[in-house]
Amino acid sequence: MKLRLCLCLAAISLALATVPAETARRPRYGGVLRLEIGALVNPPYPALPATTPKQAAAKEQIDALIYDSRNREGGSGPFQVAEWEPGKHATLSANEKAPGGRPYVDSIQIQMGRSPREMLLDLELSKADLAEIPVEQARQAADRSVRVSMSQPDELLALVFPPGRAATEDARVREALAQSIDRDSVVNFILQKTSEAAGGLLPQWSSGTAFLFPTAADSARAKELWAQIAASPKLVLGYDSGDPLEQSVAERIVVNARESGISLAAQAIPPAPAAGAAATPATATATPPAAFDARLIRLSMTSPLPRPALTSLLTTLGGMTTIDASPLPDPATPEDIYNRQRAVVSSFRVVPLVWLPHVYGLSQRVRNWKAPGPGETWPLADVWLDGPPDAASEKEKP
Amino acid sequence: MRPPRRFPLSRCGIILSLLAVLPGVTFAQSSNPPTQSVQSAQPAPAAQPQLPAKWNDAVRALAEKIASAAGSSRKISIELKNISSLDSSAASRIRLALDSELTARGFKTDAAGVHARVTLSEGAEGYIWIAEIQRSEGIQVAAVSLTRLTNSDARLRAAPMLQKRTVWEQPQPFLDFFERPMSSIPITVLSVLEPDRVTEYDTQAARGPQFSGAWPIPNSSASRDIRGRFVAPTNKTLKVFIASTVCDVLPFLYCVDSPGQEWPVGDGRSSYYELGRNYFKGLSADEVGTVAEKHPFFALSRLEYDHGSDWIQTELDGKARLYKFSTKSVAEYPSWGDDIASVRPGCGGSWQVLVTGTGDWNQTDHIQLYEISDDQPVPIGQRLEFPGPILAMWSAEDKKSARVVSRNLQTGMYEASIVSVSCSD
Repeated sequence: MKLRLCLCLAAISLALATVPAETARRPRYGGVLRLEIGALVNPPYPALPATTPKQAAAKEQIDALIYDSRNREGGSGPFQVAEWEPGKHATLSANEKAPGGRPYVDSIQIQMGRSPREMLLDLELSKADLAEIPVEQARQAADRSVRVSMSQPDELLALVFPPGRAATEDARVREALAQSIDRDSVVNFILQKTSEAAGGLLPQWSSGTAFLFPTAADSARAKELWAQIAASPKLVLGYDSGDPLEQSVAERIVVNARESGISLAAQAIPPAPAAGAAATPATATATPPAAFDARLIRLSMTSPLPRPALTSLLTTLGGMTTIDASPLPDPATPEDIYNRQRAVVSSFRVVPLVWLPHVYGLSQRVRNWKAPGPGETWPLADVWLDGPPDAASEKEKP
Repeated sequence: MRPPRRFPLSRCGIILSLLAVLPGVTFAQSSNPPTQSVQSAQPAPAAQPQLPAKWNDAVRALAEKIASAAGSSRKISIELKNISSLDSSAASRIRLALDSELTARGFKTDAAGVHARVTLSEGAEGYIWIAEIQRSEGIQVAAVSLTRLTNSDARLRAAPMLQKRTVWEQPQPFLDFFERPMSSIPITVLSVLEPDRVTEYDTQAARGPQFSGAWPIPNSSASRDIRGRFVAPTNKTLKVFIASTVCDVLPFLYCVDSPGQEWPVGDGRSSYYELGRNYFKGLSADEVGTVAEKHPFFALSRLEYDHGSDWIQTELDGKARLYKFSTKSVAEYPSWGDDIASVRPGCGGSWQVLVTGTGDWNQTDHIQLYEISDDQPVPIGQRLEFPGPILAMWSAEDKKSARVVSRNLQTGMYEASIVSVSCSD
């Protein structure tokens, strides 16, 4: 079943990654890339802290365009700030003396505070060249003929049980809820097959061992466990109030739980603050508030390699729940990676649900775009645009 | 953009029986660094090919772990499943090798024996082969990992008309390469032009290339698509052109940086390189006659005839244009890639043009051979496929082949190959 799902995801990725009519291969210089983002990002100076995880993530991406990755204070990245109207838009111009060479595009115009609906519409009308699309809207975007680019699934949506909650201290309660969850319905209906059911803490493409972790629901086992509990508790599942995907998944989990006789209610909680988010994406989610027995969280991989990725995830999860977050051996064998995941998953303190890709909408003229992987930033210095040739070369012609 | 083939449809669901298994398994990792070697494009042998050495090591390690888990029992049943990008042929060969290793350890096939499910999987770091051994106390998991195939391991394919000989591969990008046989000793020197240095390797028939030295290129221009090439003029001193720098490859590297430096771009023609960009400014007036108009271009290919010479340029608007001693083009070829190289294989009599495909650097590429007939390109034979973008292509000095630098998207390696036209087909 896992393999079928993977194959299905691969097929969908192929279907979504529509490529424009092919043109010549060597990069073209010139043009203005129009980028739209949902967050409102402060200018790099004076340095103000981000207030939401989304803002922190966007700021990190833009900083990577401005600063040399080897020297963040140097201000000598591929682009320079030409204009910045806080909360509205910014223009970055190509740095002619950028390390590694001048970017191909002349400038990037960034429109901020755009809603997913506005971004999709602008992509559809060719008013934008690049925008991130919520994963649950990837299929809709492709249906509307928007060119879609997907990363490897590298963000884990998981259920976490915080410590100190009497209702979930009994492992059978946690396992019952975990066994009741129908991940396939989340993947097939909510995410429209653009994601991958998760049984382990690392995706198959990274660890190669994800297929060893079952993802199928076992309602009978859930009922059996729940029946063993004398005083069946009423559980509360928290989700980020600003995240429509988390809300949909939480509501689906409630339905699944009730089908297994488990008493569960979903409740929105305010978005997590951004403290530390810029430093490590995996910490963008907040510590689960004590008022909830469980909550949904998103965990971003910080590396494509299994050992550093798992280490980062464990560090984050270790601050939220009682799992073994001790360092992995270095180097770690495949068995070390597998066994540690197995130990965490078997505790049912963390229940992996779905691996989500990052989805981007592109205009037809964008070339050489590659969806960034874990730990990578937008490769906009290496993107070029189809269209009229570089102005400098045009001068050569009479 | 084509996503990498992570989960191919080729799955082997072979269920065989061998022996029985029992206690504990310890885990170890078998990992091999990528190899670098010279290899010719040879047709696949008809018989069952041998596994690459590092695969044999991994199979042996996995068999050892399975045997350890089996304890004193010598009856086992093996089920093998392939969810990696390996093809079914490779999976079958691995299966046979595993059976052979277990047999050598005294195991026999028996459906009633301990069941071991072997999965050929794949992760970010390479292949991972996993055995799930069913034991009375539960399932024991053992695994071995190994790096992905490189060209040193895999056979290469050649189209009927075009042949590719891969001579070098490395993880770092490079711009051009050049092979020079030494006259006095049976050694070929391979020079590799990287963005900031020239490295050299000695190659003998009995062994692969051996690193012999590296020389930095001063003032190497910064460009995201920097271009450079080797040129071997008649005085036998190999030269390097890279942006505005020209170097002589002597026992050391002697370089001169001059913004006014012209590059040889096509059999006697030269043009200025546009600094900070990736194209040439265009032929000067004396190159093309009386008209002073310049057309910037990425590549130029010259076709010599008795009546004179024509040339084709790939220009910045994505079109290739044919010129005949004038700056007014006589034909446009809109669907060509940006790199072209003229060859005269000697079996057809006329000049032909090797043309790369279109797309970007996240896509596979190809080379198609064309003849120009009545100013129109006529494709000849099948195109030669590459598993990633072609980053540079230059006509070789013998005019019968071209040097090609490409990137293999499956392995991530940058590859140097000689593409030539076969006259036998």
